[in-house]
Order: sequence, then C-alpha cells, then structure tokens
Amino acid sequence: MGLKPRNSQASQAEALPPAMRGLLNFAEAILIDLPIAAAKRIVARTDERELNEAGWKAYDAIVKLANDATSGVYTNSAFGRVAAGAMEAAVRVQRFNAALSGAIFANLWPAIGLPTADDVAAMRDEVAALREAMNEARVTRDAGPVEAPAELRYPRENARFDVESAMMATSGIFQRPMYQGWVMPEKREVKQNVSN
Amino acid sequence: MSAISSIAGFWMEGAIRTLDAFATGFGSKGNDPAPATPYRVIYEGGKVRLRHYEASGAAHHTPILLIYSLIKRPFILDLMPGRSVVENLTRQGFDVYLIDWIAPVAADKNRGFHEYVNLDIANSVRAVQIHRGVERISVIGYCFGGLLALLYAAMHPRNVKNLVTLTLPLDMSTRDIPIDFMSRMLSERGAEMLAATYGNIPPWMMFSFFNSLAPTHHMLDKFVGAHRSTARTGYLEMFRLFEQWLHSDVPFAGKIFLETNNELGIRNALMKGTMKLGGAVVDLKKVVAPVLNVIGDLDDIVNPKSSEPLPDLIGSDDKRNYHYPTGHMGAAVSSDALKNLWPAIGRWLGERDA
Repeated sequence: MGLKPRNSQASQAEALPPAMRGLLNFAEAILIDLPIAAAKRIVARTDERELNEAGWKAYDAIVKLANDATSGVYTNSAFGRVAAGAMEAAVRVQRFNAALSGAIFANLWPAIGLPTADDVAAMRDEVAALREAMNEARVTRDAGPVEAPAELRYPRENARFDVESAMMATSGIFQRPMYQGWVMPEKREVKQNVSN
Repeated sequence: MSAISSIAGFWMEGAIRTLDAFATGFGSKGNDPAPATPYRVIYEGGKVRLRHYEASGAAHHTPILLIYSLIKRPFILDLMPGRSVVENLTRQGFDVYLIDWIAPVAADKNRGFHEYVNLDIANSVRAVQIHRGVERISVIGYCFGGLLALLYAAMHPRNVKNLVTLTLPLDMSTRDIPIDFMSRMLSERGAEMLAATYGNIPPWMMFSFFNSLAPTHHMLDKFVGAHRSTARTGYLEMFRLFEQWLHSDVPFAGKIFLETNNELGIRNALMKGTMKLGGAVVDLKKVVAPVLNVIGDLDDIVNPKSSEPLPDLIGSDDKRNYHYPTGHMGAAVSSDALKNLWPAIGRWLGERDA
C-alpha cells in the first residue's frame, strides 16, 4: 500500500492516554531498564555509565509522573473549588481575628505604654523604606553620579509630542518628575458641550 | 554518593535562599545583581524609574521602550553578559529604555491599570520622546508587561510606532494548563477579601502561588537539573542568577490585582471589549501600529492559546502571531532565543524603522 512499516509497540504506546503512557515509561524504567543495568554492572562488571543512564531515566520517569499527577489535580474543578474555599475561609478568619484583636487591644496597649500592631506595622514600613533608600543610595554611589541629559533639562522647542493627551486627557493626576527642568503641560480644563 | 551530596548542596542553598526571602523580603532594587549592560536613569516619577541603555554603534531612528511585568524585578532582561535581552537589542543598534517598576507601598493599594498605563507608561513614553526627540516609539511588552503595552497602544495609539508583545495573557477563557484553572479559582469576593486584608498582594503570596504550580520542579527537580548540568560552562552562574530572579517578587498593588482577577480573569473584559481604563472603554481596534505577537509554544505560565486571538482584535494592517518553541522565561534567557528570536524581533523592528 506504499505505507512504511510501523513499529507496532511504539504505535500502541502512542495510542495510550498520556497518563497511561507516563505510567508505562515509569514501569519500564524502574522494573526493566534499571534492574538490567544493575545486573550487568554486578555480573558483567560493565562500567558505571550504563547504570547511571538507567538511573537518570528512572528519575526522569518519576518526575514526569509526579508532574502529570500534579497537573491532573490542578485541572480538576473539584480541587479548584476546595482550594479556593479553603483560601477564602483562611482569609476570612484572618480578617476577623485582626478586627477582633484590634478592637480588644487597640486601647489596651497604649494604656500600658506598648505599641499597637498598626504602630509596629507603620514602623516596619518606615524601616523598610529606609532600607530601600539606603540600598538606593549605595547603588547610586557605586554607579557614580547621574546627570539629567540636556534634552531633559531643556526640551526642544520645535519638537511636537503627543503628550498632552497622554498626560491629561484621561486623568487630572500629575506625577512630579525627578528633574526640575522637566516642562509639564499646563493643567487645563476642557469644557465640552458648553451652551448658552 | 557524590551525586546525592551535590544535589543536597544545591537543595540546601535553594532552601536557605527561599527562607531568607520569607524572612527578610523578596525583590528590591538593592537586591538586584550587578547590571550586565550599563545604563542611566533618565526619569523617575510615579512608580517608574526609567533606564536608558545606549545603542552600540549607529542607532536605529526609533527607540524601544521595554515594559516588564509588575510582579518581579526586571533584571531577568539583563541577566548577564551574553544572556541579556537588553544587550542583544543595543548590539542590534537600538536605543533601549526599560521601565524599572518601583514596588508599591501600602499607600499605593489603589493603583490600577489606569494609573500604570495612563500615568506611568504615558510619562515614560513622554520621557523617551523628549530624550530622543522622536514622536513615536517602539514598545516591547513581556508577559503582564505585554498586557500593559497593549493597553497603552490602545489608549495612546499616536505615540506607538511598533508594538511587540511577548507571552501575552489575553484570552482568559482558555482551560488547558494548570495555571488556567489555578489563576481563575479565586472568586470576586475572595479576591476582594484578599485585597482588603493585605492592601497590596504580598510577594510571599505571589511567590508561593507560582511555585505551587510546579511543586516537583521547585522542590527537587531544578536542583537535580543543576547537578546534572554542572559541567556546562557558565551554567551554575546562570542558575544562581535565575534563582535570584525567581525570588525577586514584589507586591502587586491591590487595585490592579482586583482588576486582573475580576475584570480580566473572571469577566474576560478585554476580549469582550468591555474593559475600562480611567472611565474610557479600551478599544483594541484603535491599535493601528504594526504588531508582532510572540507566542512561546512551550509556555506553561501563559497559555499560548490565550495570546493567539490578538491579531483578530486589533485594527493594525501589519500584524502577525510569531510562534516560537520556547517556554515562558526561555524567551528571555535561553541561548536559543537570544540567538534566533531576538535577532528576528530586531529585524522586524528594523524593517519598520523608517
């Protein structure tokens, strides 16, 4: 018929579902290849290379099986529902605990001269910000001085930029640039549908 | 026995790295490795620190703005000499600008897509326009950065000359790979509760989520892989830098988390054309610049099928999907991608430079 002869074993393996194929590979590596390589190493005193290869093949088969199993669990909608439910419940409990302990202790700690959780959190944020600023200063110091390029200090007058729409059309919020020479578009009010 | 002790050594090193991150914090600029490519910061404002990497030799006319994801540090794009997207592009003669996102603090919990796209990216584009004296620039967005780049191109089409999106999460209705199910299991109410409890989603939670997607890999297999590849030149240095990047998670602002989960994830609003930014509906048909949408065929973080519909949704005449046999991060760090994919992207941009 003009068709190439097919390896019947290979085609049978391909026909199997992926999970079964993984299991088959795993069984082949653990129950056939590895014992044969070990026996050859002991009986025929072959070098370790063949045994190593069989060992890694078995390892790869195990990892593949584990990955397939994990994927199987994650793609199961029941697992998703249970995991989401557990997470939401945990967050809800955490919220309740935070509110409860806040209500009970908020006025107690200051009364006996201790900081509240918010105070500690605020201080932690401040320390983190200081640490970041210090790191930043160290990086900047190590990198040498950074100067604003002339173009930024003195933008070209003849350049046309589509920036007003970018800066203003969708928001009234301005962000202050780093360099004082940055020319920001004037804030303006756009009145639409004005009629007498 | 030596293999076991070697793997145990890598495992211990990894465990200490993870425990340290949980104890003292994940990503911050101070923890970044030394940059492989020199740069200057040309603008800082909002949550952006804009870096400029100068082109080697004669530069193309149109500069590139690289937008990386919000949830990890961007040094993966400039990991080490010879393994750097930035270096690759500058060597091809592009002036590269990279948005180095500043991690949100508690007061930034109300930052959403509008603030990141219409303010931070818009300001960065303006800085590039002024710095290079050009009207339009090329934008390359990676992963979540690709989504931000696409939104920017839709909201401010006149500023974008070319758009390249890599591993773009777009269609959230796909249900094939574990992350499709895991990332969409959280209900709107659950997401709101998370945001209300934490303000910004903490880095440890982001880290745990992504690691839990491939537990065997992160608990064992990557250390075994390190042992098996010890003999490869430069592999261990690369492995350690990559690990450092894996632990570089930063907080995810509460509002953008909610918008991502509820609007994009649950309602699939961008695909349905109902997503709003600053009160305006995002109309992807307004994207008229040439678009190259790079899809990693082996991507297990962004389903390749999720990126595929982009050309059908945008208004550009010059648009295409570019399938490449790589994984999610392989597109940034694999030697194959740096040898073939990025030069192809450079050529595509170069042909549209005039």
